[in-house]
Amino acid sequence: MESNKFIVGLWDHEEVYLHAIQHIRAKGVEIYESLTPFPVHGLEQALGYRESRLHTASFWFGATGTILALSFMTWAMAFNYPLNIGGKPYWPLPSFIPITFELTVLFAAWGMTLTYYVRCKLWPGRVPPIFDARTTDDRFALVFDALKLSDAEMSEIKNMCKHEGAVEVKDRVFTENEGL
Amino acid sequence: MHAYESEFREPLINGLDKNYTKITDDLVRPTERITTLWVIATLLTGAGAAFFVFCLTWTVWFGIGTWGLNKTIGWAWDITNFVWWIGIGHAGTLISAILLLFRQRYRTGINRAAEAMTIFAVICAGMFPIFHMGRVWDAPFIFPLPNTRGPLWVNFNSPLLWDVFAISTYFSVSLLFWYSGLMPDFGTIRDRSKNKWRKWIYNMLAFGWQGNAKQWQRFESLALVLAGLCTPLVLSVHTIVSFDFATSVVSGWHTTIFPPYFVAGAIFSGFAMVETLMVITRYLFKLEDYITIAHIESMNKIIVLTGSIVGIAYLTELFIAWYSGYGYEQFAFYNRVFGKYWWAYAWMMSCNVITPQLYWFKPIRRNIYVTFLLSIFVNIGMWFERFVIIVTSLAADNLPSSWSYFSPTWVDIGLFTGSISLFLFLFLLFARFFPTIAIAEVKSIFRISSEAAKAERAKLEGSGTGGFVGLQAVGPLDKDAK
Amino acid sequence: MAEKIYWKGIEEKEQLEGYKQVADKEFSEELPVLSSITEPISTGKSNRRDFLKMLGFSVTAATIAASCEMPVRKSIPYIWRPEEIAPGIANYYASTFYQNGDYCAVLVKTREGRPIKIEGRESKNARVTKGGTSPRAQASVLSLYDGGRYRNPMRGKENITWEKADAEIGEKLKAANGKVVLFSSSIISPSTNAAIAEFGKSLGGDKFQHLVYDSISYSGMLDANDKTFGKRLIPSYNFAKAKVIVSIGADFLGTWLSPVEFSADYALNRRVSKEKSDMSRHIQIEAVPTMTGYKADKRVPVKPSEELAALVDIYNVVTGGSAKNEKYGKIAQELMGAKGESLLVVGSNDVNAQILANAVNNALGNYGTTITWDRPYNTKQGSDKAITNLIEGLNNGSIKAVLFYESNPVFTSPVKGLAEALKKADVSVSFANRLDETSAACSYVAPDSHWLESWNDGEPKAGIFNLTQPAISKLFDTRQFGDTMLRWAGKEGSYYDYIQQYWESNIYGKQKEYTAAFWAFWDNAVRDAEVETAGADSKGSFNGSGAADAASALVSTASSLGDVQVKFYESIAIGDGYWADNPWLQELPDPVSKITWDNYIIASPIWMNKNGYNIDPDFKEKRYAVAKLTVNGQSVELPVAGVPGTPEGVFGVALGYGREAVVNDELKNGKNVFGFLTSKDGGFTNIAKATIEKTDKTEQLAITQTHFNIRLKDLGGVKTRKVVKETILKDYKKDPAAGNEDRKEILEELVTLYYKHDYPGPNWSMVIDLNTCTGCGACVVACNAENNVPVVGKDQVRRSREMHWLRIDRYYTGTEENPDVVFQPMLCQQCNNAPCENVCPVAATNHSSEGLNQMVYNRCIGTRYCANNCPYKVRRFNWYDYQQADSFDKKWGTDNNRPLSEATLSMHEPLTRMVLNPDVTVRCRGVMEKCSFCVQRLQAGKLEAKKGNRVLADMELNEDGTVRKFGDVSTACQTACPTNAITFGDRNNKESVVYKKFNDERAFGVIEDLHTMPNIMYLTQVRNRDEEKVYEVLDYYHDKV
Repeated sequence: MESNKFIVGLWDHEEVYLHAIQHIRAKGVEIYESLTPFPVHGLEQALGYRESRLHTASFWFGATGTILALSFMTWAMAFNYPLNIGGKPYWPLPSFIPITFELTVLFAAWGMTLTYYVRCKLWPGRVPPIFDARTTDDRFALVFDALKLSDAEMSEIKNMCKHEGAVEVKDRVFTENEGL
Repeated sequence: MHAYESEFREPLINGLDKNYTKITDDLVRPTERITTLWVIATLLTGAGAAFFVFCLTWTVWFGIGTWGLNKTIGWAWDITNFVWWIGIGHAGTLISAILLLFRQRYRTGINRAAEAMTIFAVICAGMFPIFHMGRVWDAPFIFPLPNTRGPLWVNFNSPLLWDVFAISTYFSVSLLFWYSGLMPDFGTIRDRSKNKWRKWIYNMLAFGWQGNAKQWQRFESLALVLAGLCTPLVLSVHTIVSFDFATSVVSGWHTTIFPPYFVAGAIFSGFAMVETLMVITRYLFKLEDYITIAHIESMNKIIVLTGSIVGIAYLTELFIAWYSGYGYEQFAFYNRVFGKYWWAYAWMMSCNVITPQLYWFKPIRRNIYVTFLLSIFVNIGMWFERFVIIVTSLAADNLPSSWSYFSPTWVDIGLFTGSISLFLFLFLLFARFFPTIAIAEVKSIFRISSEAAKAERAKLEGSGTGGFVGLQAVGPLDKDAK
Repeated sequence: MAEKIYWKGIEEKEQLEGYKQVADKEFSEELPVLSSITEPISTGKSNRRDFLKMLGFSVTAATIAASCEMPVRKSIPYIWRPEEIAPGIANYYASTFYQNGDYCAVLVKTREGRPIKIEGRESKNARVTKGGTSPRAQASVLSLYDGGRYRNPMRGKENITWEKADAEIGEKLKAANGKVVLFSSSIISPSTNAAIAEFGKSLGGDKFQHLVYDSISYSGMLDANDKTFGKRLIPSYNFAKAKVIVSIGADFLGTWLSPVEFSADYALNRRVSKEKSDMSRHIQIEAVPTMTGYKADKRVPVKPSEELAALVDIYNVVTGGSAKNEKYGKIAQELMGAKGESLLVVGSNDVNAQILANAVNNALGNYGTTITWDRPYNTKQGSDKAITNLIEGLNNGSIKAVLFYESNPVFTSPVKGLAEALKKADVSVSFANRLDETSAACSYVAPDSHWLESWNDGEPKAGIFNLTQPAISKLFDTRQFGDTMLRWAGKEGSYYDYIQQYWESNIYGKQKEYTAAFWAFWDNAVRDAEVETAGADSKGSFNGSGAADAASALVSTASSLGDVQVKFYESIAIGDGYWADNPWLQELPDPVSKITWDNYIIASPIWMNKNGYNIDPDFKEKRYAVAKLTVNGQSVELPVAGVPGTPEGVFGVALGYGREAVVNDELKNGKNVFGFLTSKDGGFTNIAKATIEKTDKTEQLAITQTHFNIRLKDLGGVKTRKVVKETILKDYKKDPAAGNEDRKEILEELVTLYYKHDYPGPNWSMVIDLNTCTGCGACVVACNAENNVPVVGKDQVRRSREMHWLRIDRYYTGTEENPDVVFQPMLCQQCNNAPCENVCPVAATNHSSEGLNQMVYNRCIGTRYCANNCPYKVRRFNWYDYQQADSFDKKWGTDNNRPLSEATLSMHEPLTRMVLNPDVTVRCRGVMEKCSFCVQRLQAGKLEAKKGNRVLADMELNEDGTVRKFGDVSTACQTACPTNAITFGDRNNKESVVYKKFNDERAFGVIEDLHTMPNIMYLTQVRNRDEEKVYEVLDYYHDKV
């Protein structure tokens, strides 16, 4: 990340936390990151994120699976190496249905999940910036980029957090290649 | 903003002292300390798993002849075990997927373990179709790989091939579902741990999970869509397994009722197995507050439902056999009930149809001991169901001249018991190193259906402040909550 | 100038020079026939023909090696190819199978110089057996490669050379101050007899004596004929001419006298069609059920004593008297209704019984019509006195030297003490070609060559001369009996020349066919292997003086037998025990009991129920209660197996089991009961008064078709299942589709949305006539030989894992006291909608454009799904590495053959593997296999037609429906069948025989209503009876619990 100097505000109740986000964003302060221990309902709306497009992606992945399965089986059975199997026709469509369905699901699921990992920057061995260890336990955090902020602005943000019910506000400065 | 839940509804998280940190502590603790009981159990099941491997080696070394099969009965315990395990594997995905779609909150307590169970059950199941091959070293032939024989492709008409695709799809998708759900909790464990290596390992496992809003947003939409995909998948898998029999010409196999009846049976046995494991886990790891009687009761309700569906299926089969006026079919079912294998049929009927009916009574539904016993009964019954279908139908089929009888060898028995050990072994490892209960998910229902939250609400209402603290203040958000 | 020779190496140089030397001779090598009997491989002096034999072996080795995952090995091509041998092309040699009374006119199929299969000879050259074969003839090729064969002459256990043997034995014979006896079974070879005579003469005076003893004795019959006709011979029985056949305990389709011939003749009048809807009437009066009895139109189950009583009754009625029992009176009436066209045969070895039989046939005027003297049998000449004479002679010292030829009396003698008596002789020599009890007890073994290695001739019936020619060079340092006789007689020259001289002086003159020159005659004789000359004097005047006494004698015999009686019978597979070391025959299920690898006590199921025996042994263990059977003093313990149709209080035990001197223990199964044959006025009788008591022991029997109790007949019934269909002649004459009426509606119900595949080329089809199938099992053994079907051994059979591609299902109908039986050969039905094909995940089994359901072993991964889904259960799985075709265990030198039985392992011996058909892959562990309609033969036949640039020739029939000539393609089972019950060919050819039969009104497919569209049709069984009803529900029954 380009910045290494942050203000971290910590809340202990998701409702107060959501409330705070509302007000802080209303005051036009840019929230760099918001960390919660579990998916808080309404958080993305509060932060004004637009809806995720993952499901659209998965639809297209699925469609690929369907087409691939059907076309391959047709080619293999009816054109590439036609065999008389049990007196069935060379193109036994009903027999293709189960596999077509399974491949559809397979492609949709894998395609979508991989996309999710990529978009969320998740991969084995990735070292994330940990603003506060408790954010995966019981703390709801708001992180503000403090790199370009003046001291006055910084104290203003801190007060704002305190006023909005933050149980703790602190500076977080990342040192060079800091690990976990 | 939270959906309001009446305090009369029984909480899903017990204990007035609970809060987020407490939850984290309770649920992560099992991964941080090691109990002698666990060590003993793991060693025992580990030995069993080793014997499983030994029996497999024996089979491959000397040949399928070491099993009890013969010219008439080409499948017996092998495929019985396969179908049985696959059935058990269904509960996991079902609980996480379908219950998620139906927004059943009680799933959060059990879904993680159930999904793990799915993975392990499918692993056990997969062993049998692979090693029942006469030439397992040629197993790659079942994949449509380019080859120098024409190229000769596989036979897409074969239900056994459909199985290959169904099972592998089911396995890998369940794996994704399970693992994506695990990552946030790995994050939690990472951030709790002081030890550098432990931190490093769990960060590895967590794929560097951070828990920021974007991740959570995508996480939820991923969970939702995967659930949407898994629901038809889980139904399709056992349907396709049932095609192995339904599409054949063997009387007693060739039955159109099989797909729904197999799926019901799968859910039935799956829930039973989840119960068995849950009762053990909550005792072993002191998780009574999170896997409550309420959880067990709701599972028992599903068991009595699916059990009754299965029962109806049995009776329908018999009726249709008689009604068809078709000699082979009539005999197949007559033979099933009164033939040489009548005892297997009796086991099936009593364990699958009769005993689960006890769950109509609330006290029994809520009795942990009875539940444990019956859950095991159900799985015995379901094993016999598959045995009855597969073996009795083959043993006396169209030509009386080649009728025969199956009886297992020690290798058959070793493979069956061994697979159970392997399953438990894997589950114990999982319970030791992974969070057995979805921490984040439990936290997400804490405010709604935990005893503590309910008590707090009651206090507030009592004090006349009217419901949730600060609710008015965040009014504009209400629409999002609806 | 001399032509330069370029050579690459020493060997080649020598070859080339060798070639130069012989280059200008007309024959660059000596005639193969001569060399093949002069230098065996094992002497090391091997000529090129022997080299070919070795090459042939290595080629097979390569073929076997090339199966499954083994690497393909290259075999060396010929440098100069002998004109008669092309690698990969089979040669057929006409020859003659004869062993201890079993005669069969055969063709020997050789590949690269290895005999691998026995076929029936074309019917015009098989005047006796009409082109059919017996299980034993089919299996005899395996004995050629038997591990128990003697490799060279032996003194006791010590190997010696022929020079030594000749010297020592010769001088011992001279020195012997007592008789020198040659003890043999009936010899049909005139040249052999001549050679024996020479040998006898050479000993001088009356020192030599030839005793003939048949272990399965017909001496009663011979003596009877001696008494009544003054000739100690057995006349020809012509079942073809008989309209009414009454058999009293004679299994003439299975084992009696000349079964292959009789089956063929019998079938003539059983083969019904719209054109010829007449059928002979067959009545069987018998104690222990036989396949003949099961084929009868009317079967009368009686006690052995009652057999005799019945004979007496019939005799009384036909000679104007009256019957004690009206039942037999009626039968006699039926016989008299067909005077001159009837036939009474009696199985008993009791002289009196045979005298009465002759009297009856004489009274019926059957002599000259159904029984003729012009061609008496030479296959049975023995006298029961021979064995007693031998033992007495040895004991009282009058016999000092004894030679055993084609006879194993130490095992087969009903009289004890031969082995001990032999010790008293100065010298005892056995000519056995492989290990047996007698040769083990003899001081010398001078091994005879196997018949497939030998020149010989034979006269099975007077005036019908056969030739046996070697199809392979001698494998071991053996010498055939004829040569030995000549050598010991001090004669020069080989036995081959001797035969030629004999034929030139004795036979050439008698025949009219080839008169140009002897050589022309001889060459044709060798090609056809059969020559017909005038028969014997056909006159025979019956002298019935003894008949009355005989009758009264029989009555007393009958009364003496008490009410628990036992009958010892000859098993169709094992015979007198000679074949007990032949795994193919050991594993051939008995037609009646379907039990393999053992003998046992046949008993009535009802009797078993009453006496607390378990009829329905548990299917996994197949444990049968063991009973102790006691016949005057001596007793034997054997498991008891219930066989419907056995009267209560009657028990049957097969002879020939319980061999001791065999190569492995598995062949020793069963108990030897020859000792139970009781001596009665100079002959041995196979019926006796007995007592039986249950022991608490049990024994496992490897039965291939267990009885099941289907309580709801209509559900389990075979009729419901449309497996077999039958009718009675009366109805058939009214409506050819009788018994098969339901087929029309079945076919109407078979509708499909899919288009049907068309078969542009041939559409291979088979039709099996249930009416003429006798269930003998020749087809089963032929299939084993043709298709390298593995032997799995008793334990595996007991586990229902027999590998037979073709089995004969046996269904009962009616009552347990006296059931009707249907034999149904069951093999892959080659369904056009094959259920097995749909389910194979890897397409290892699929359908050919010729309608074949093909099995691709190399593709098969062994899921066994196809076998589960096969309604006919004809697919066989290689549970273990039965064929040693598996690369798996060799690679790591494991012992993973441990689960295999000794019999299976013995089939792995390199010597025994020479019997494998190189055209057929041996299947490795874990693959599925099944009947392929002999696809290798189909391909070969198509190639023949292609080379001749003509359409495929179909089989040709004679007017009477018998086969004149098989077409270009024929399956192994088809050619093996003695009754031509199996028809095979191309259904697309509207002219073909199979097409006509396939669309006959009698034709039905087994469980057709599954819409499998089988390419095999069965013709309904028609029973020649008017009053008796055919039971409505055909099915299994068993214990009435």
